[in-house]
Amino acid sequence: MSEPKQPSRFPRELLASGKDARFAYFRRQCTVEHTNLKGALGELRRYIRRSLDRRLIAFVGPTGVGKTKLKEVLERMVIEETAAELDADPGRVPLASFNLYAPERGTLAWSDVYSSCLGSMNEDLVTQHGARPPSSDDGPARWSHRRPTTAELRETLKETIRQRRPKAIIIDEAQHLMQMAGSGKRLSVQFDNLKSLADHTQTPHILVGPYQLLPFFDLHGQLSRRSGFVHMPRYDAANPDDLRRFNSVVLAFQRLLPLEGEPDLLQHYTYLYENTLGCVGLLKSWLDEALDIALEDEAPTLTRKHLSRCVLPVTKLRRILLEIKDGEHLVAEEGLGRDVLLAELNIDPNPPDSGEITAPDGEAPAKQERGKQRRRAFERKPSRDPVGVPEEMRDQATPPDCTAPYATLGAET
Amino acid sequence: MKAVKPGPVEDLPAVHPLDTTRPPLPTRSRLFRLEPIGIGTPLVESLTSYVGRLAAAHHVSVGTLLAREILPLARGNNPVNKNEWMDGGHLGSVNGIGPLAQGWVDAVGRLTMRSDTRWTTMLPWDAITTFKGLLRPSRAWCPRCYGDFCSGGAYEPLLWALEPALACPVHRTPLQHRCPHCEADRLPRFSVRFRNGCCSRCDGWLGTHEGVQSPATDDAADPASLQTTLSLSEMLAAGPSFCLASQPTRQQLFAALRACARAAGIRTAEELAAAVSVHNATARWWLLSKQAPELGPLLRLAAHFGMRITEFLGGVLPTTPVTKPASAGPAKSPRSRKFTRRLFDGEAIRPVLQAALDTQTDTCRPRRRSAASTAGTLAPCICTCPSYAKHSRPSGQPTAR
Repeated sequence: MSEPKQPSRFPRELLASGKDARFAYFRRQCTVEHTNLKGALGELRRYIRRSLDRRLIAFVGPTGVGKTKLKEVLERMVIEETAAELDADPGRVPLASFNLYAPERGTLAWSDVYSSCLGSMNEDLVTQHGARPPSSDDGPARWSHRRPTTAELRETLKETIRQRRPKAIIIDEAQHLMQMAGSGKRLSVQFDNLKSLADHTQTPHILVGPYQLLPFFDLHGQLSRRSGFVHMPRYDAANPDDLRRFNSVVLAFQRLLPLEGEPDLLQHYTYLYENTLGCVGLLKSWLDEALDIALEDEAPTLTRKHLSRCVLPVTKLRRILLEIKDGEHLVAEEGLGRDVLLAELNIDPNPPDSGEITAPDGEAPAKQERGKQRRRAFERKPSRDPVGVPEEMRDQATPPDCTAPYATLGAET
Repeated sequence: MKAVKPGPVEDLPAVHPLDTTRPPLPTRSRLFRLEPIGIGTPLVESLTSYVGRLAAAHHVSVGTLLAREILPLARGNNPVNKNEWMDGGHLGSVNGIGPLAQGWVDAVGRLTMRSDTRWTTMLPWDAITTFKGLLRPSRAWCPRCYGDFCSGGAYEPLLWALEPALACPVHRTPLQHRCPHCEADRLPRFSVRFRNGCCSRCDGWLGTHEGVQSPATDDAADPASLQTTLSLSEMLAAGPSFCLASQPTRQQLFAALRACARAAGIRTAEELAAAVSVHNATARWWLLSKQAPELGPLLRLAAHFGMRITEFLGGVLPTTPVTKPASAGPAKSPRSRKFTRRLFDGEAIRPVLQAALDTQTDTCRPRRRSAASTAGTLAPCICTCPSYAKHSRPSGQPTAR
């Protein structure tokens, strides 16, 4: 059976319900599976399912792109996929998922992180009634009822993860981990701590947060090797395909708004885009507020007027956009660093008479890939610029030097 | 942004709603689902050891685990009275039989969502034995076994908690009672400070270290104790398979006892009592199905008939009459001596005792026990109360020693 082309609509009987029910329906039950969400979800599920060497995973994206919503979708999928295992072993938990809250005094303590993780697995015995020291046969080991130390909480957490065997540990708002230390050197130690916990427990740890998380996964080689990266980008209007996908999301939300008259949001797609920066999460939050206003006004449909009453201020949008641009630049650097890597490996990116690396069926996709990487940043694709003498100048005695502009361009880069 | 018209709606990629509601999670166990060690083997873990391991895994004390989780369930709606369990006097009984053990097994089973915790107690044998003589009053252990367990995690077998078990079936040495560090004897069987393998007074390790063994562990256990322990360990090992196949009942036990006695040529209760070193009345009550044997005599019964306890309970009969008395086995209990109560006539006794004291011979020097035996010899009608000398002393005479 072919997939229905048009997105589904809201159930019409909802119109008979009150405003609260209609608002709750749109706010809580209307998440759409758009392309970028699907891609990021697939990557995360791969990390969880395969239990690869990369156990510390950064899941980054712009603010308001929908990372938390994707986390909820992921939790649901993991619970459904592990239903048989959960029935067979009542001691097991599918996931440990918790939020890191901004610390009250500006710095975050590891004991708070460990306690939050233990709480997400319903393990509160030690946090409420004190811990025991690890068992030892070297003389008497005293214990008492007191607050557990950070080391004790860490040991308890390791044992709890070992016993409960969650598929993954998901830490939302992980950017607050940056507030553990004041300098870059100590920050690497903190992330090493997290990496060693992930390695010791053999459990993927997924850190969800904005782009600020990225640089700290590249602090040293060991951390880089053991860490993975999943990116959920916004829809970039410079890319026509992205814009089409964004509009399909707008259309989907348009059909799900529980109003008597279906609003025509597509005609305002530029307005919607410029005030959400292509982030589906921001779009959804905006539509939630606008729907609330429309329901309060008892309007038959949603109009631009309702949208404009709850639009984000421009200053805020610009700040968000700056952060997004910085983050996207960080992500883009990964692709641009290939030539640098080759140079450091003393590999000539343009080897003469080099044999082609062909695929088993005789094609050469790698050649196209290498050719693509050979171009440096801001270097124009050669096919875009004509070469040779223009036709109208062929009759002249001295042909002009058509390569002159490009010679200077090459020197600048 | 370059104005790009969205195009016809039909050309836009389809996007569908996603269900993000978290599905209901099946009930998870409150505590870790640790597997009891050694079910179906002679060294099956005891319930107290299992609770100790649970507490260690959760990194809390046994007291915390009891107060927070186990006792509120085990005691039902009754409020937890800390004074009742702080002392730990009755806590060790949870390894035995009866409603206390059953309550704990149910509570621990609910918290761990396991159905096999009953094999860590004597509950499967509830119908065929009694509280008396079942559990030892204090803790006992084999240091070498603790040393062997060290690598995999120390635990306490149920065997060590049973009173008839005096030796280790693996190392064939007597079980120890005294802590090598603080010299404390008669350690509580279970307490809020309990830790597997450690003294509950000083927290010292009770096992052997590598290359270091306490002198007491080198002694060999006496054959009788070892034989009883081996029978007991066979009984524990057979528990799951035997009790699940045919849950032994008290009627089954009495019927088996009578049948075996008949087949072995034992005709009277006195003969049976002499065979297994119990009081005549005890044997009589067994044959009348009024009282189940204690664990020790039960094992001696099976040994006397030349069969395992499971064979005995399963209705197997001895092939030949057993005529020789039971030579192996512990000494007779002092309670087996005849005890008759005689009337006390103070008026008749007083002049006789006075005369005995006046003679001032060594045999008449009043001592606590000798006064009773002397009075018993001189006046057969005197009550054999050892405190008689203390309370009926003539004035001016030397103090009874």
